[in-house]
Amino acid sequence: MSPRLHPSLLREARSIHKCLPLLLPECRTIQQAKQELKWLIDGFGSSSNKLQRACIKRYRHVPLQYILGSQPFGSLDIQCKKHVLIPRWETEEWSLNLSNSLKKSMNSMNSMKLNNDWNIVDLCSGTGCIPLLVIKETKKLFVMNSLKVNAIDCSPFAINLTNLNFKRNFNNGLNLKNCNISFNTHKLNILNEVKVKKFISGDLMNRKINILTCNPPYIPPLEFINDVRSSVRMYEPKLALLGNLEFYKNLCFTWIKLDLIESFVYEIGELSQASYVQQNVPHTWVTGVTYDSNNKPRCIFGYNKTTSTNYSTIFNNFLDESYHPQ
Amino acid sequence: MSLSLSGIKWFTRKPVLLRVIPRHSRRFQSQLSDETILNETLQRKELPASLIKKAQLYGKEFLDLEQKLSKGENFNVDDQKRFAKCSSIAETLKVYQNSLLELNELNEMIKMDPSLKEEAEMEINTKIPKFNETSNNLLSKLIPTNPFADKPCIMELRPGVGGIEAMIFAQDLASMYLNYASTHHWKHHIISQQMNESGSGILSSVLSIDQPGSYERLRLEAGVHRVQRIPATETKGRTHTSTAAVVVLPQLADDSEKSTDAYERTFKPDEIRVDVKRASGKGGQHVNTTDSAVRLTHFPSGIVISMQDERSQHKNKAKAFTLLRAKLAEKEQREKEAAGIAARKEQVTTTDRSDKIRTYNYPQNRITDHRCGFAIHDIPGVMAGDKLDEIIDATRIYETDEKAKTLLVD
Repeated sequence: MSPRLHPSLLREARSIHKCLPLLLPECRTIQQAKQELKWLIDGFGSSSNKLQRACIKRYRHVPLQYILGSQPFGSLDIQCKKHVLIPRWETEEWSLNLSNSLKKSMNSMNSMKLNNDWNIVDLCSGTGCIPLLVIKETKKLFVMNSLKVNAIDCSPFAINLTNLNFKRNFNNGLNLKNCNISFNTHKLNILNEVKVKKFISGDLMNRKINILTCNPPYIPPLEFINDVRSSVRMYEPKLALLGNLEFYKNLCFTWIKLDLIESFVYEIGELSQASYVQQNVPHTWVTGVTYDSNNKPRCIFGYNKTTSTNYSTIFNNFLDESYHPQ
Repeated sequence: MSLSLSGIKWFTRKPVLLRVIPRHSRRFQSQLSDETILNETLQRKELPASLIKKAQLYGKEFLDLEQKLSKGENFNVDDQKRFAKCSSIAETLKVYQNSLLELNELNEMIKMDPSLKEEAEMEINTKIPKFNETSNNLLSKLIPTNPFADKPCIMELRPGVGGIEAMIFAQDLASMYLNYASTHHWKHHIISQQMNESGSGILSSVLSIDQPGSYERLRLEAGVHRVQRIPATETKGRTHTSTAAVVVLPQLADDSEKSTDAYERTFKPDEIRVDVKRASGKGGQHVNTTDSAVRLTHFPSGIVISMQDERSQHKNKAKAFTLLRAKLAEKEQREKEAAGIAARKEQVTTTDRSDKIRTYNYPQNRITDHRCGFAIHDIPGVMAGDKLDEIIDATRIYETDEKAKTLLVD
């Protein structure tokens, strides 16, 4: 846990702005607190009671993104609300890398273009940030051939927020008018195999999924007290945080085993989750781990090398774009 | 509007390049608003004698080359190019001189026969825009333009010597440029700004003036600005001298997020290092940090840029790349200019990066530009952005004049 704030630091903060000491418990340094104060002033104005109320919320460890109601995510502005996980910068980083490698590969290979229709599914969607960013970044590629994106989450709050974010960032879908892209959300518990099968046969009409993305809850319950910041622990939904191998197991024994997908990218919290997946995929699958700029293992990806689509180009690019641990 | 003595403008410009011949030798402040609109179009832009001399040299060369080429002897590409350049300059010069002659004749006519005044003036008014066009045309043919002339710009302000007073002055300058942009209705925003701990003054400020062409306009603002005043922090009433440095960079593309990837790709991966705040702990879902600072290191040039103003790392990265590109482009241009000077093997005084370029003397309410010796006695007006144009005009005139001089040396 963080050490106690020295009273002299609080005094110093008080002398700069009356609200600044309230931000210190979360920010720890004067510099960072001033930065947050600037953002709060941008959101609430400089002299209002609103600002003070916002700072008091921050003092109680409410995440800044919930107070301001949004978080920039790539070129998107994602709305954040209670009961839904706030998008992290690590997720932003890998989603951008994935989008960029998709763009790169599709531009370099015409064969990919011939493989007309693309089907991307995002599980545990939350705010919907990952699929929406992929759409935003790759929309220019899908004029002739189509892109179908489905976002799945079991929480009604998440589904509502994903729909809202789609509306806000794509002007109610009007910004995609010239593109052949469809976006749908489904409230579904994917840990239930029967429901997954129903979704595949019903909504997807048994079409194979090209890329399955997911940012599953990956904090083991034992770590929750010690390793998780209080702001996360107190205010973000445990549904989106707590889990260990459930979703990786579900990946291996539902999506891959039933041959529903051709490739996947899953965010991970620690290497043991990656190695679990690596041990449990069939040997026709190629897997790899990418790192984030903070030098932590962040993603496990994999693709079936026996498919007609050349996934190795996409994922080699993805590996290139990602941070290389030193 | 009332007329007071202080309202009288005795402002006449140094008669150098683009000489302005005012219709009234003195103007009253109260008349300024409608007068300026009229004068804008009716000012005659005459080129200085030094430039005309240079143009005439080209004319002479044109005749020589014509003779040489007509003989049909050794015909080479370089001569052809030279010939094309000289002929176009000679032609424009002819047009310029003819219309200048016409205008002078009309002016003579007014003096000789006042009864024809109205008609002559009308004719002058129709001729002047065309004359100005030729004059500008000739000027651009003689003096090479900056390759970034049509670009928007980024301004970086930092305090120099003088402690907190220098920080306050840097802030004053930043607001002056923002005001200047506002008065011209130019789009602008602050890319990043770091305030002094005690809340007065800035440690650094990076402004973006998004108007295309603003780089050409503000280019000469780069340098060290000196202030002489009794600081707010001074208790004994002594006048202090402090400085602030201004750097002006061309903005190569807008810093929208779309172009980030394009930027990144133009650099080789081993040239660039992007650092983020290395937090301990597991990261990912475990924390929801708001600290999105990014540090960019460009190894070949040694430029390091830190950016933390945006809430997303991606956006900070985009801004850092914009700044890096601007810095590199400016550096390249500076090296090119330096190479050009070295090639001439003589030290030419450049206007753009001399050390102390301007003094703001508050007790005397005076701003003096040291490059051209231009002084204006209206600090509030300049700081509000309204009168800055007068200084900029004077320095620009001085710069073109200097450039013309170097042309003559060639």
